Amino acid sequence: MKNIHQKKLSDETIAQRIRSASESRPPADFVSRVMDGLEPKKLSFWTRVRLWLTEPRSMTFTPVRLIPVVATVAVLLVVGISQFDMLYMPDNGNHPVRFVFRSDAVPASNVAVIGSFNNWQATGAMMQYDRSAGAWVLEMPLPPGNHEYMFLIDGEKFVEDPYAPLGRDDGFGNRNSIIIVDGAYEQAL
Amino acid sequence: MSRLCNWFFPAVVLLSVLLCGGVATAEQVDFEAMAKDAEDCGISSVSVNILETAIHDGKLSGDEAGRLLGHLVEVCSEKLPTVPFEEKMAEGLAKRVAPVAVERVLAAKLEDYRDAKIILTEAGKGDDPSLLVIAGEGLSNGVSTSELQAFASARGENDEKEFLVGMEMLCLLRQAGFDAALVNDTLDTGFESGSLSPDWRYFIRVALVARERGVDNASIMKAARQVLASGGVPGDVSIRLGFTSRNIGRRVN
Amino acid sequence: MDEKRETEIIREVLAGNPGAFEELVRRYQGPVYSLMLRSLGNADDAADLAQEAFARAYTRLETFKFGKRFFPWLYSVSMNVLRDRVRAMGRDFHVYMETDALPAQAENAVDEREAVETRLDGEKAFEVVLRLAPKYREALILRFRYDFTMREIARTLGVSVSGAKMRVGRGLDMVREEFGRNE
Repeated sequence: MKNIHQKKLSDETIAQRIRSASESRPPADFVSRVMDGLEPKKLSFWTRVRLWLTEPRSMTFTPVRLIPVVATVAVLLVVGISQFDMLYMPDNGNHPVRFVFRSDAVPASNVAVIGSFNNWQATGAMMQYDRSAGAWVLEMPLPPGNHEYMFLIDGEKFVEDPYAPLGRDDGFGNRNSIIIVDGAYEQAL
Repeated sequence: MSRLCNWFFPAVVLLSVLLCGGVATAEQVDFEAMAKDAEDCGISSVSVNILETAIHDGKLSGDEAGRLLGHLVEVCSEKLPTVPFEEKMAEGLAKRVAPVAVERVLAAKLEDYRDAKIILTEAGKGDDPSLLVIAGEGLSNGVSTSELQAFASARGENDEKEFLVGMEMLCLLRQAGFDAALVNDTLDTGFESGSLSPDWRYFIRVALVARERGVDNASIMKAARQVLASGGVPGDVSIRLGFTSRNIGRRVN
Repeated sequence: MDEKRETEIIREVLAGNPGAFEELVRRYQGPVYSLMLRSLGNADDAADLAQEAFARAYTRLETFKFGKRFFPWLYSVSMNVLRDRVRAMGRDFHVYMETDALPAQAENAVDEREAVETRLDGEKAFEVVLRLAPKYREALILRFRYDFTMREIARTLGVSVSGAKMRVGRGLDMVREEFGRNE
């Protein structure tokens, strides 16, 4: 059991400790060891050219300096982030939802419901044609929350649900339909 | 001077190439390395599998897949909820959107989530992943940062559960086009009477049905305020407006 | 030492004066040696490898791009030297980065005088860092001791920028967890 008074190390503190911790010291003769092993350099032609060109002096044009890209995220100041859970934990609160698609205007050989709840994959989400209703139908258990979806006609055409009261721009130029699954009420929207 | 330019500039270009050690190529992304990062961070293997399958099927190059996965790793590295991003990526791929366009959408979403995180952190609620998703999605779908900010600073001290309900109501109602003032008045009533129970999270359903039945926004919200003031639930709003949730049949006509 | 001075030094070395390199060795011997020591756990090996790192940096100095910081470049060269040594020892470098550091030896290598300070929170926290798997340990040290940018960390460790951010974040979490457990 966690002690509630237990102090949690903040990122700032850890950073500071790392910064100030003592660094191991190399042997006293290290520098001379390194220097003893170095031979004077003989310059290649191109290195000479490069040095000449990059010599700092006023010129009519200056070489482009590459500026290191600095990360913009400040991870440091956020303290004690707990591991996040999956957003929609499948609890026993899955509710059966009925999707209906009428294909009068859009003739179809097969129709699937694809959405955020099935990674937008048609596998396992094929609708059945109900002759009496004159429409394609599929019932699917969904967890509470709002879910985006579309109908996929013949594996290639993406169509909105004309009866969905709420829709949303998908960011790709299409419009998704939204179904809101609420534990308290019948899924009849 | 112009004659000088004829040979000067090509020479300069040649020299620049030599100085910079060759023509710079865009950094190729290593999908395998990215997949490892993804695994380390805790991104679902489903997303990695989707990308691997796409590579296998020739729909994405390794570089494209790596870039997409890189966005997910970035989200994860900032301790933001990855599920909405994973879903968005899957959506883009399923809809055969060009990878560059998917990347753009993911990047924009990340900006929204970063804003959401800042807003929530200021209100002392930056760690809650559910809130981050509600706020992040809200910003992605048209709620303004100023509105969200105003809500968060006004209600930061309130009960956590009520804060969540209130914020979700704000985001969904505003996305559905309900006027800001109406929404805020309603939420104020809810907070004041302490009746923002979890039932109210999806009040939007009742509101949309009412709208379909021809009830105007102002009347809907008025009914909501009345119900909230007396500690009721969204179902009571339907009743007050003249229909019950029971007879909200799915219109298959 | 600012960038301008470093550029001057490098130009001098390239112009044929090896003596100029000494200033850079003196400046960065600590970090390079520390890297080798915590990676190998043995002072003699660490000194050898650190010397090799500087020698290689000297040899490859022509490839250094002016305008970038020298230290991250030197550190990358050092990491490569380390990688080659790990491979020569018959180990896979990736596996090495994933597994835990050699705890006992690395700590013993710290100066005895400093052992007294282990009572302080500061050293304790750093000890925890030293015990992390190299991939996280190095990311934290690069970030907080040497103020590398995420891009520099990414280049040095051979990962993506997001990967670098992730390693820093995870590293912090792991230190926090481990520290809490030992309190």
